[in-house]
Amino acid sequence: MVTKNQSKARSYFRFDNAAHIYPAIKNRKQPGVFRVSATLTDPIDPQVLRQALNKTMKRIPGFSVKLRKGLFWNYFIHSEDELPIQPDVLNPCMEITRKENDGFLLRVRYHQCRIALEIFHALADGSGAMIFLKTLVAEYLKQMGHPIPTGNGVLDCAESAKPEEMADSFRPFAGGAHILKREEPRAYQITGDPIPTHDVILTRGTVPVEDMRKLAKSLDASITEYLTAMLLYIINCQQMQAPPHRLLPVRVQVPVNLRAFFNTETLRNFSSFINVGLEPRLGDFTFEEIVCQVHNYLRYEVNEKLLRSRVAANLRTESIPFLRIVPLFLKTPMISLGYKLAGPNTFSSIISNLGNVEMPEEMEKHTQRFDFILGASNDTKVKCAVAGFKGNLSIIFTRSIKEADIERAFFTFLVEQGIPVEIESNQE
Amino acid sequence: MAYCVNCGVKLKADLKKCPLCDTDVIPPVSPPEESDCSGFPPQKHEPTASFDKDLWIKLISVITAAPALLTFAIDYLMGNGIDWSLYIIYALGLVWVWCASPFLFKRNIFPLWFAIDAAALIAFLFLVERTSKTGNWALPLAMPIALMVAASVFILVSTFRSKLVRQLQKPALIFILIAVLCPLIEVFVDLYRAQQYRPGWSVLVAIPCLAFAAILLILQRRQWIVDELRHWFRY
Repeated sequence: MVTKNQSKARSYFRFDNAAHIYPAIKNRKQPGVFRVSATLTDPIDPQVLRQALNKTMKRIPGFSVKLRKGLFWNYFIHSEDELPIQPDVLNPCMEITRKENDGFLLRVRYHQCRIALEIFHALADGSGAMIFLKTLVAEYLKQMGHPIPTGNGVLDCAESAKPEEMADSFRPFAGGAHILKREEPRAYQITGDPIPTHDVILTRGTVPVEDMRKLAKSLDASITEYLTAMLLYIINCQQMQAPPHRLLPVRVQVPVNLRAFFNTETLRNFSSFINVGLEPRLGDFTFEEIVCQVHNYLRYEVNEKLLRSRVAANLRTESIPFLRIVPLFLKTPMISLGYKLAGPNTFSSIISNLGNVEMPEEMEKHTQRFDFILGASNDTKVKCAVAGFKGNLSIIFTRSIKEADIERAFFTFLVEQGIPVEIESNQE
Repeated sequence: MAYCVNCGVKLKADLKKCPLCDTDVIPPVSPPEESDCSGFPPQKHEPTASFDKDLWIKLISVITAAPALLTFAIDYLMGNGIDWSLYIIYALGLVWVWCASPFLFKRNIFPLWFAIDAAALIAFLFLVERTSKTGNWALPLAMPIALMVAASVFILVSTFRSKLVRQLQKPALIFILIAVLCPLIEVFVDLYRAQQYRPGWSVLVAIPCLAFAAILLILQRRQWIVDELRHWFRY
């Protein structure tokens, strides 16, 4: 059980390095929200979900927080309030506002057999969110009378929270590392007719993991590398169809989970990003060439030393004395402007692969599928989120434009490679 | 089970059109599959109003009323009766109308609150004329100029909102309106002062404005320039 002293000690949380940017750039068009969801075999009982959520929030107090503005920085404050659960909606990952969500930075939704967790990125990354969701689903199943053991990302709600779970791991990982100077000129941007701000178009394709693995293996690549190469190839083809005055590099941002390189139990943000791309001005690229390039680039970049250097560069920005003494109301527009000038301009799209979702066998038999969705944003018009579960790969495209050209080309490319694709969408 | 004849992908049982290419799904002969409870719900997330209208009106009322009362009290207690404080009270009243008018009604009806704003400006000018006793200038001079400026702003905002103009056409339209407005203002000023119109400063403003507008309209016809500018300025 959580003692009073422990609870007091955890009542205030400093932002981690990645979290600083999201409150500054958050708005209706850029909500900074992503979603993980689990579809069970039986319909959800909201009362039981309510109880399970209360227990999970107590077990993971780092998620039971509200955002507060300090004089110089934002911070989280622990709250004992009850997080409301909400019915699911057609347009997920909309902005989490203080008024609508009682100040909490996550939403728990349910619909038929599905439990969904929508979370503001300042709070956690995909891995942290997935552990919260798995713990919530396990607790729900326990309350429904199914014995579910812990392990594989399922935390025991009877135990008290560990301080390491809420630790900021960026500084111990990369503090003092040498910073390599990197410059990334602007990349080609996907264009199209915008849809209304509060709409989002989701297209989900399901493909067999084993077929996908064999296909990627045929070109000596991993699934992530193959899918990234596909996205690059398709975006480049789009650029070539209506070439602009000056050809621009095509880049796709790939999040990297740093937990693989540093022993940490943190559930907060602990990931970095790598922009992998191609330069069309060098000539025509075949798909095989792009796969090879992505494979080699990721192998070169994804290693502990270079990742530490990347994280150290972000930490340095946070440590600039001028930025530290500037009050928050001035700092927020500065961060927002800095992000707009240097952030989304440098990549054309994002592909985030959460990997294969693992859980105890007893829990797996009550679960049909897991989905991962990236929230829509005005800056990056098309995003792609990938998660594998029970032999199927769920590939979900999120877009904020009417044109479905990218995902159409993506899925038909897979069909042409002999991979069966099943499609569903939230379009009415 | 259905497949899109165009894309070759398998489509979920409840889809009537392929989400990728909009091709109609021909209902298959086989019976529909059982739902796996994973579909999307029909209801949408409606955004909550992040702006508290009542709070804003209360705040702006206090912010304008407090200095109005203070200046009135200073003028009344320390001066020779009520004199200069009236101008400040009129100006604060105008600020209140401009800040509060968009939020006085349940629905945001732009022409309505804009008309209220314009009427408040004209009323302010008439009140200043009457209080200052500086002659008859509000009706022949201030009101036509205020109406012209209001009409120009209304045209601009309505055109921008209706998306009739795009990208570089927007600043071009602003320059054109300035080029039209300045000579008209000069006409009214000249007629009020000397009862005859003589082109002067307004021509010097109008010519560069029209030139800028022409340049922007020419650039708009080159899409690659628009794209480059859009990337530079991220609009």
